Amino acid sequence: MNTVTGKACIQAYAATPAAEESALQHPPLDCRILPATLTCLVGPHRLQLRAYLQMLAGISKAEHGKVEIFGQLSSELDKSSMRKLRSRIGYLSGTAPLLSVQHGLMNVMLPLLYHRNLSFRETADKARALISDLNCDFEPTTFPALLNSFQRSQLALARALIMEPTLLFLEVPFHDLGAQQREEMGKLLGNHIQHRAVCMIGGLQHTHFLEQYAQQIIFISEHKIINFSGWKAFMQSQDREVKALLSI
Amino acid sequence: MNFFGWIGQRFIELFLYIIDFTCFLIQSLSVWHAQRNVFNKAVYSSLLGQLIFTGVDAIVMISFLAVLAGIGVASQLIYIMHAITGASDLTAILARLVVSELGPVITGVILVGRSCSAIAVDLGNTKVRGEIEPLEYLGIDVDDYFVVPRIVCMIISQVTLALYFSIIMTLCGVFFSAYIYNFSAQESLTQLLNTVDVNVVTVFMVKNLFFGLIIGAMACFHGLLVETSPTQVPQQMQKAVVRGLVFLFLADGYFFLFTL
Repeated sequence: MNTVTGKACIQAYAATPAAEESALQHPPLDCRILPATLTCLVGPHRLQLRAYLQMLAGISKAEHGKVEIFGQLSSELDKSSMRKLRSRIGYLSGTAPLLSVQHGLMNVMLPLLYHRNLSFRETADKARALISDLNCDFEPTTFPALLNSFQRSQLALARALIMEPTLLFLEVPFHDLGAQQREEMGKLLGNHIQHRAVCMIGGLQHTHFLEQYAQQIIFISEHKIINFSGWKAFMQSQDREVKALLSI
Repeated sequence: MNFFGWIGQRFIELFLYIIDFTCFLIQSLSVWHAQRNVFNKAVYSSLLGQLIFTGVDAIVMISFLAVLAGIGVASQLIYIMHAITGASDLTAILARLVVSELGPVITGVILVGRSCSAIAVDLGNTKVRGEIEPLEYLGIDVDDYFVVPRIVCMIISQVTLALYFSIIMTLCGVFFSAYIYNFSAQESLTQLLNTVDVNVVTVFMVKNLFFGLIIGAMACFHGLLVETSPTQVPQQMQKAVVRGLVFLFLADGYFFLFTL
């Protein structure tokens, strides 16, 4: 298991997500996500992984077991406490686009404008600084429809980071990116996840990234959940299902 | 299914629809509770954008229609009243029919056709493209950011545009009639102003506030009913417009009975 010690950002105790439209079985998950570590959920079913990720992020409630986020039980939070909690958590969804009726800069500014009482100028300055830090070589006031998928991913990352979250969720961050762009996105993520607890799915789309940064890999299938202490342990696994996944 | 079964089913659907709509409205407006910073900057910017789109951008169209309605409708009413009763009932008719009735209803119909449909399509497309969910994951409340600003702007627009429409229509009607039928416009307008009291203004404001609330809430409700298919967007837009008009006229009927 993980070698990094400290108070966990997330702790799951035999937690299973709600089945919703999926007919897949959900085995109970026990895990700790520590500060400044990257945990990747891998498995053969994207929908299943997404359900676990959303449960760990507090977006959906655990059907069985419990999930603690920053020491608070996610199932016991009311709407207002949940909103406060969410303002401390970044969430990047590679498949879900930016708000198309707002330009890029406004998309990045939005969470900050909503949660903090900063002026427009202060917020815009902060957003511009972050966008420039993420090597965006385009005019930030461009509308998302006029940007390519990598530029949109850069803005989506900026939007997830603008609140300076200590906990970051990445849902298929390499989605819709070419090999070169995955490498660049991997570098950008690498630079910005160092001091954060990160939990992601879709890491197998760019295995080099997992090899470099993942301290914990959780394999989830319909029948079992296995925790690995990093890429090497995952690769050396003799489990049949893990091998089958790696062979795809 | 026989005829009565069909009627019964329609009634049940209508009843459930009204309950759904009412719950949506209450839930949406409840985000603005006392402790909340009502005008947080993100909501404020959304509010300003909507106000420009729903209110300011509609002024040219409203002005044009108000002039046409003033010349075409109000002047005919004035002519008929002059021919039948002389000038004695003219101001009462103008106050009752043109200012209290035609102004709010025509403005409401314009807003339903222009903004209600646009809001339903905008929200529907935003939902289909999956742009709302990531914002919720970042702690941004859908009702707070998407729904309430649109409803509030619709109310503000309906009240101000209806007032503007009524004034322009009345002025155009009176001046046009005075020019054609040769009577004193100044006298008619002075009499009209004298008939306006607190009651008339209150009913006018409440009526328009209610119209705006219905149109805005109907647009958002149907826009957010869209789920994953783009084909649902025009369907919900159509429902928003048709039901918006139906509820608008129902509300108008209620106010007519209330103010009799």
